[in-house]
Amino acid sequence: MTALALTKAPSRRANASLLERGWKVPKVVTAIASPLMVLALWWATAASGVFPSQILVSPERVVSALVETWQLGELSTALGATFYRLAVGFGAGTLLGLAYGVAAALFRPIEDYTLPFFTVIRTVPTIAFVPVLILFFGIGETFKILIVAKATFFPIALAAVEGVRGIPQRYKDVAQAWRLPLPDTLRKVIIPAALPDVVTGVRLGLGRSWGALVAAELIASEVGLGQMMELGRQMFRMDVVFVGVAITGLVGFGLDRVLRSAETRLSRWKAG
Amino acid sequence: MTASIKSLAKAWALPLVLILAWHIASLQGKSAAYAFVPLSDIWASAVDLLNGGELAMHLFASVSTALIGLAAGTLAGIALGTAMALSRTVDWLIGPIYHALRQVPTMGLIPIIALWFGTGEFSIKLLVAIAAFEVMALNTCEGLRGVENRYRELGHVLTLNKVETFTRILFPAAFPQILTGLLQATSFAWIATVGAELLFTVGPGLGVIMERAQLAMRMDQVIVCLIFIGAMGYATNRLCVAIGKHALRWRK
Repeated sequence: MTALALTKAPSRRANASLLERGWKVPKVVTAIASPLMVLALWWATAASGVFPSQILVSPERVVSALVETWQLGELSTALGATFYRLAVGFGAGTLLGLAYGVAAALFRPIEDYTLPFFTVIRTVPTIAFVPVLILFFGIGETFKILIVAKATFFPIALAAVEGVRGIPQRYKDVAQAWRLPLPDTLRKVIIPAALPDVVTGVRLGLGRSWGALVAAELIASEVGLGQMMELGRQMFRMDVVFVGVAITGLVGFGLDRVLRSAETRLSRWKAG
Repeated sequence: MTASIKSLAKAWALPLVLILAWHIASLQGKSAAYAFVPLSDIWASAVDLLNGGELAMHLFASVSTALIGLAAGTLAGIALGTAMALSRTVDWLIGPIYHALRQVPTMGLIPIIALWFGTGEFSIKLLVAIAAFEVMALNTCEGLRGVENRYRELGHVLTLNKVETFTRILFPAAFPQILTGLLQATSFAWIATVGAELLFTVGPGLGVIMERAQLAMRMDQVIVCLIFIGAMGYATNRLCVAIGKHALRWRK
């Protein structure tokens, strides 16, 4: 998406709401008022019995489904399997993406021979690789880990290429003047200087791979968060589906938060 | 000229090597040819699907699904984004819920959509619309909020009313970001179309015939579908980048 990021970030000063109305309410109230209202509305609608429970379950039922799946160990098993796939695929995708990105930015032949092809592959929706990978590897772990790795690799590789290319020439000149060997140049100059860009790519990659993993688990899985939701759907267990969707959202939000704070810290460090 | 031919040759080297490797793998006995289907089979199945007009029909169906979802999602997204940026009340009421829902990956909503709206073609379009909607609402809202105060002050000096302020000042100033959002939404709409078609496997569509081919273990057809889905993704991406560069060239 780098090429699409054409707009500047909104300036801080202009961030206040438009058409100021001049009444101030504490931020906590504005943040939780509407979710509480929705919760109340949800609870009331479910209690009224207008919709059958396959369509709308009460909030209590969702909470009890959460407790139940947790106590039965279903939820922890599902989360364990999902996080394992995410960790392995994301780890592999990150390392490979970083290594490839740095190599392609530093060595012209690597860029010339591989970057055009990779730029094309990057635009193919990750999920479209699912049927091919299933035919190759079956519906086991391999195909899901590869999907996560694919979703991770490209944003990180391209961010690393951009990051290394953006390093001021004088940094490289200094490294050369000190006759630093390549490993030291990488460790002490190239990687730290490219890090802020790379972290942005890592954040993008993590978001994409989380979505791709959940989708892959919905399509074919014996265990996992996506499989739990799919099974809940097939058995018309709306409560279980709600628990799954809520956890999917919370995990996505949490992962993004962690990397966003790393990103802010690093870009501040780069600017300072 | 020679330089560009050279770089073109370099760009094609890796895909050609991979195709050659695939070909060699397909020659290693029956079990290998099961996964690495011979190139001739892939070619035959491409010709077959193209000649019957079948592929064109499914491609057209997928593209129209993507466009319908994109249009609906874009309109709804611009409407909500504008409302959240201009009205504090809307921002209070809907903002937190919108941001909470946005955290769920689009594909993760499929089980709920399937329970509420069934597994028909409407659900596919709805999912595509949601994917476009989320990006558009965010970019519209941030674009409008980011309009510099001096532009707004200018509107004040010229005693523009609310509608004029919006059409003459706020919207044009926020346009670059709204366009950026639209270009992103276009990519997302295609991804969501393919994903939803694979998952729901209903109606005509490239993702649908791809999933059916996978269930029938027809690697040749799966590869043909993948190539067309990839080509569409690539073309969309290039088109969006070009439109973005062209439309926003004045900002340089």
